[in-house]
Amino acid sequence: MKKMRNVLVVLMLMASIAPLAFADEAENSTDEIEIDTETQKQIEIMNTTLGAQIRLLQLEKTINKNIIKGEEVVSFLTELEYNTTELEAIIAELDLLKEEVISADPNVTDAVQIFVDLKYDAIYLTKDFRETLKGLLYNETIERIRERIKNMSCEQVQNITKNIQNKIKQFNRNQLYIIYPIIGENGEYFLNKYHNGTLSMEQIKNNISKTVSMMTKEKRYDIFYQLKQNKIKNKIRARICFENATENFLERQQNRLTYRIQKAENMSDDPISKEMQERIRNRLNGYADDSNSDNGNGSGTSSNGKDDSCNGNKQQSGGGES
Amino acid sequence: MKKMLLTIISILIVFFSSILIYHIFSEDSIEVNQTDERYDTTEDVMNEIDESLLDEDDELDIGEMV
Repeated sequence: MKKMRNVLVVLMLMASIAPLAFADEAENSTDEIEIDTETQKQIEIMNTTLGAQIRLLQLEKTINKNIIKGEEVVSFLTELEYNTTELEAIIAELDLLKEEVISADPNVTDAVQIFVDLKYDAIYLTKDFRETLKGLLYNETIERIRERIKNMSCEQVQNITKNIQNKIKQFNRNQLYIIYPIIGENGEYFLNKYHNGTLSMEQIKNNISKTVSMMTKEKRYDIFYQLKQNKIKNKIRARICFENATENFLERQQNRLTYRIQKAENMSDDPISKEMQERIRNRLNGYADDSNSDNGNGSGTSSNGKDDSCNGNKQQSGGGES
Repeated sequence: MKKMLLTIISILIVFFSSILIYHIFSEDSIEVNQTDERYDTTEDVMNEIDESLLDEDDELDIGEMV
């Protein structure tokens, strides 16, 4: 009788534990971040050096654009005799961040981690600038500034844009080198034309579409299956890199902020540099308080846990380069 | 009493098993249906190709300064 009751208790326990088995693991770690779906999608191409180069260049370009716009805002406010030290301190940190992006090596195995870290820093600083501005001005003035900087052409960004477009072209060419054999075609002729600029990507896609539409249903299914398979493989690789990037996020952020304080200390002794140092210190103290209140779990662990699977898949610019 | 407990356990096992089987079956059939609808169109192949390529004007979004 007692035995039966025990069996019943065990069964009930198992039933109550079952949902936990399906739940996402490591939800209780405080040293991780939730990476948005857009960033998750962006890192999918970073398993090749070329893909990593593209993402880092795009990040550099966006930060650059925001710095230029920020400087325009500061010059506008200086004309109106506002105190812009806080805003200038944020721009100065964005400048340091830009240097970090430029010096990031796309060949290294943790390029995804670096990209995610720096992108989130850029998002934070941009938001910080926006909110500081909101605290300084009325909505009408903000609207005036928005109009003023809306159509700003950033010549300094033009070169990076061209560089990015060339790299994307090269990336697409490499992808098509993989795709053409799947549809059973030798795409050399079209790819060369695409490379020369005599054929656009749209024209190439139209050509592929015509070829595929003339195939049998079974052949189309086969192509679809193979393309899907490649995509899933890439997604799995990206997932591993993405999980590595989420681990020990705060620890890495604290290291970066400490490094930035050191850099700022060496720069100059002006009020902007001091303001920047103070703002970074406040953030560092905020993180320290957070981790203390969360009992600090996770911060002492190493980030090496799953790195190998992420590193092992780093390829040199795809297989199709001629 | 013993018989009753045995019955309860059996009912519980049957109940959980049927939920599990139903769940697995319904997920599979959704997947099969989706694949059935998809694979025979050129458009779906082209969508897959599109997703593996990048737009030349592709940009990152980190938010606006103002």
